[in-house]
Amino acid sequence: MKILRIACLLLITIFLAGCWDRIEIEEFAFVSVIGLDEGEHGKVRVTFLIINPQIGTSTNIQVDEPPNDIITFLSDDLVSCRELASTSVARRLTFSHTKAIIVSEAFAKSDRFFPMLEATQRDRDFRRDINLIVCKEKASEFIRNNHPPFDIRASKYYEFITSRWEDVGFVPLSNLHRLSLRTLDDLGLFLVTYATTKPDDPKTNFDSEGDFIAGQIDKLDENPLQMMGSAVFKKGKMIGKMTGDETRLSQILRPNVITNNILATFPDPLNEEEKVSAKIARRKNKIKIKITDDYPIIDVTVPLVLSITSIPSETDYVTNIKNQELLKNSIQKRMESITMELVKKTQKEFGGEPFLWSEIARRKFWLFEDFNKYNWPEKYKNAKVTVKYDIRIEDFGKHYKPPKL
Amino acid sequence: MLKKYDGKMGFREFFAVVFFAIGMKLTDTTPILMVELGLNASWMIPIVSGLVIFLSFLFLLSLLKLYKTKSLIDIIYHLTGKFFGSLMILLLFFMVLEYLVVSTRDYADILSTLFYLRTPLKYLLLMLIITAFYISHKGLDIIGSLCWFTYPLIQLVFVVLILLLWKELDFNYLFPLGGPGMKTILKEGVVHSSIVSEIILLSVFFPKVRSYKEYRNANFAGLGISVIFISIFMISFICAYGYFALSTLNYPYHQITRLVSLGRFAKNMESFFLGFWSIGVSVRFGVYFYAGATLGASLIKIKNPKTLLPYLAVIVYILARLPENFTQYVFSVRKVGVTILWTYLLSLSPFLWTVAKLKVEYKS
Repeated sequence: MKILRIACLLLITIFLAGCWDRIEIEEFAFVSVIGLDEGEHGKVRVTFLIINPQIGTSTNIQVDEPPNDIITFLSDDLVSCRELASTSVARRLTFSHTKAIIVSEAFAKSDRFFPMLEATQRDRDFRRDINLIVCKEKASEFIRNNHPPFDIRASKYYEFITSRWEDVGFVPLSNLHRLSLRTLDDLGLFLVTYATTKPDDPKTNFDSEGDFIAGQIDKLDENPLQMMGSAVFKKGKMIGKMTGDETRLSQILRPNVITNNILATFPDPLNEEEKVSAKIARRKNKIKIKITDDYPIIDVTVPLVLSITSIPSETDYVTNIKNQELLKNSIQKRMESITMELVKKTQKEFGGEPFLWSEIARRKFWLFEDFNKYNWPEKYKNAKVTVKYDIRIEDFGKHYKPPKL
Repeated sequence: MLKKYDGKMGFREFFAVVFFAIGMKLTDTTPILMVELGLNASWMIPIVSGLVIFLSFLFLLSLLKLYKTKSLIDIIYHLTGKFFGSLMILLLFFMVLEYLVVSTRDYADILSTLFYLRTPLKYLLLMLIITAFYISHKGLDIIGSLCWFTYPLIQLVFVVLILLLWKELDFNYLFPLGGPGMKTILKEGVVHSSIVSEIILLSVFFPKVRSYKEYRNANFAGLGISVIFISIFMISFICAYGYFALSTLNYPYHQITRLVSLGRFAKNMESFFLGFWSIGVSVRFGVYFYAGATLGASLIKIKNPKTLLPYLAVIVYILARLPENFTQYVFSVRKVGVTILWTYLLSLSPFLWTVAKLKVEYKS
């Protein structure tokens, strides 16, 4: 009896192997980045970056192999080219560890982009949290041009760089999950990280540290990659671009705090040439929306807490209370004016809002149908928006007074 | 102090049985059925259903209290006679069978679509049915203990999932709060009451529970916890996906386990949840198999329901393999089952109660 029981137990372990789906980890080829370009004859050009799992791990096996393999195919869709890959890759491709999908601007602007992504929702291999990046050039070039000096493992690099939005805010949080969410909701704009590896005419006369779109930054670097600003999507299609500052602002105006502790510079009110820089922490916005039949009236109050980090003009804003008020007022004015500019731009140019104000607006309705009928995206175009900033300066850094020269 | 083992279930065992029979439904396609008309307010539907079935269940409780040792089957025979009694029990049996067939197929489909791509569906189905059959073959007292033993695990996993999901949830999606309107919500709640109607069915096990009081409390607690959890998960599905994206999904629970991650290093956590889920599912089908066998045995007058189990397992396997794809089942049979049989399930216990009243069985 006892032997029979042990035999049964041993037999059960067979099922632990995963039945028909059993596979050795060595047989997998992990695609860590996918590129999408428009192809000839209505096809799509797909680029896979397949990582070499032997490179960049803590095990000390020295192998003389490249860290990754980049292949580009012309294919009907995203999923079927997995089979095409077997023409040269000796392993089974899997997307379960894919970190980013790179889409060329030209393809993102076409009608075929969103339907192409449907496969990523249906195919079980794709995860909904894959990051989305729009690039200026062809995606196949973007992936090949990118040479991160420290992260040989591309998956790590893309994972780290796409998570930078949290601290900096120049790029938004954009993944497949959110894209499908916002596109299906169709209540406003969706922002996607914008990047390029082909910098052109660097912008030298800029307003502030975020007044760029990827490609305009004057930077000297082995790696040409620049990730800055966002591509604006409406109904699953790219319709425009926003600078880093505008992307930041749109995130500041949202009901939920997701980006915090960002650094920003403001013009010095007493010395026109100079800037004052500060670390900004945001408290919860007060968003009041009044629904009228023709247009919504939106009142937003944004409480910002500043911590000054540099005053290069050496003006005494610390002990001189009058100057402090002056600085506060000037920051407030500036923030309000650039915000209103952005709001006007979204109403006129994009015809939609990236601020997720629809989430507050939907609270004003009782029935789902009523809210749909109200047609928020259309009504937003004529919305009366006022944005107020409530600026508080919390501290002035390590210096008590500006040094005297 | 150790209680003397009497082969009967106590409060906690039966509570766990009820939880597995009802609560586990949040992991299959049931939420999608409710979302269709409930829109973004569909999380209220299970609560309404729970209340409705609770009222109906009160009638049954009154009967069970009256007859002390009789199960639902005995009560039906006793009150309506042999012929009508058999008909009613046959209907109940078909309901269990229908549910077993559709859900085994549904669950096998979840496995084959999301986890075991290359393994044939028939094999997954076979494995599911064999495990459930094995569990149910051990007898009701073992099922009860097993339920109680695994209940904390499953409950913990549900709670952990919600906590991990927290940052993905956007509660603004619950608005407009009224959804399709209160009238539709109430109507849908009544129509979908069969989702929580297991407490009526499970009263075939009444004599196997130690006392009436324990039975009553176990049902109340089990129903309450299950309804709360189905509702909480509906809220998290709506808040994580929004109504429009949610209505396009097939298996919201399993898709949501793919969204969560524990920090930067523990990603792709769905297999962790899959493990616990499959334990819960096998236990759950064990309960169903035993309930089906008990109903069937009373129809053909066999003493021991276990003799019927192998036949039931084979029938379920064959029927579950019939349709081409599971959508045909879920959106035809299951929908009909859910939306038509509720009248029968809801009216069953008030009907029996009225008969008992008319026959003057209640002596004051």
